Amino acid sequence: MKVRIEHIEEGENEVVIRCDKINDEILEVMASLHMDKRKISGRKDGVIHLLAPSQIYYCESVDNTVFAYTNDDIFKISENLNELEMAFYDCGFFRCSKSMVINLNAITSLKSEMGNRIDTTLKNGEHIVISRHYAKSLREVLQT
Amino acid sequence: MKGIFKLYKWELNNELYTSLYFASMLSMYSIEVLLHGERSVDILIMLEMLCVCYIVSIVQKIIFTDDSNFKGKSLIIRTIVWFVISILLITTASFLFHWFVNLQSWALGAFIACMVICFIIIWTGMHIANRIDTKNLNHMLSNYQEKRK
Repeated sequence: MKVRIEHIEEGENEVVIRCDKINDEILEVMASLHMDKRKISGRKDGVIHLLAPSQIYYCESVDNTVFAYTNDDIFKISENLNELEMAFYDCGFFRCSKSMVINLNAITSLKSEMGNRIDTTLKNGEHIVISRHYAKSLREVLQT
Repeated sequence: MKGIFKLYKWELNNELYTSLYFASMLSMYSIEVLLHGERSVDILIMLEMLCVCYIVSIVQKIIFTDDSNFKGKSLIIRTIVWFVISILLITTASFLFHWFVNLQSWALGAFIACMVICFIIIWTGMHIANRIDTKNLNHMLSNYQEKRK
């Protein structure tokens, strides 16, 4: 696919995709363009923040409340884990336990443990252990 | 009902380990019996071995709980404790139930030695398998993240 950038003196930024038919490659480009627009609103100390999916390392449900964990902050969010998993699957969100969704792009390394568990190390050094039940799904997702 | 179902699942899992241990224990014992020129194993001894294996698997379940995540020193200590308890249980049972009474004196020692060797082989094998799996997992992870950059 050729990529061409035309400089304009004034006017709104616009992305035009020229194609004879919409194929997987075009869909991927469209998805990546839309990705940045999707934000998750998170509340902290009464203030609402708009979080990009890439900022979130993992989300955890505690007492029916879902919290999003970034590098060094925690936000309360309104979406539930199912919604996060479905809506941001293409952003790397993966259901790694009953109460947690992890961002696969925030993982720096994986380690196979006894009992078919997988120990994940996140960018901020935190460790999350994925049980054997979800480890199987993780392997399938990583192979896609 | 939920509790009963959980117990049922726990028990099924337990029986899987019991079967594995029983199969290996009986195999080793059968070979020793064969080496002594005999071709049959007492059914009572088999039942006793099955019970001992069941207890060994329960001990394993207690030491390594289902949702446990033991690493490093904790894992090594728990493994050693489980191993020692298992060997003690089996050795005690073999004396109590006279498993080796009709066999020569070396039979019990050989039996225990085989179990220790098997344990070391299994432990080493699992460790190597985990290392290979870790390498594969990280390779898949970097491919996955590269595609989505």
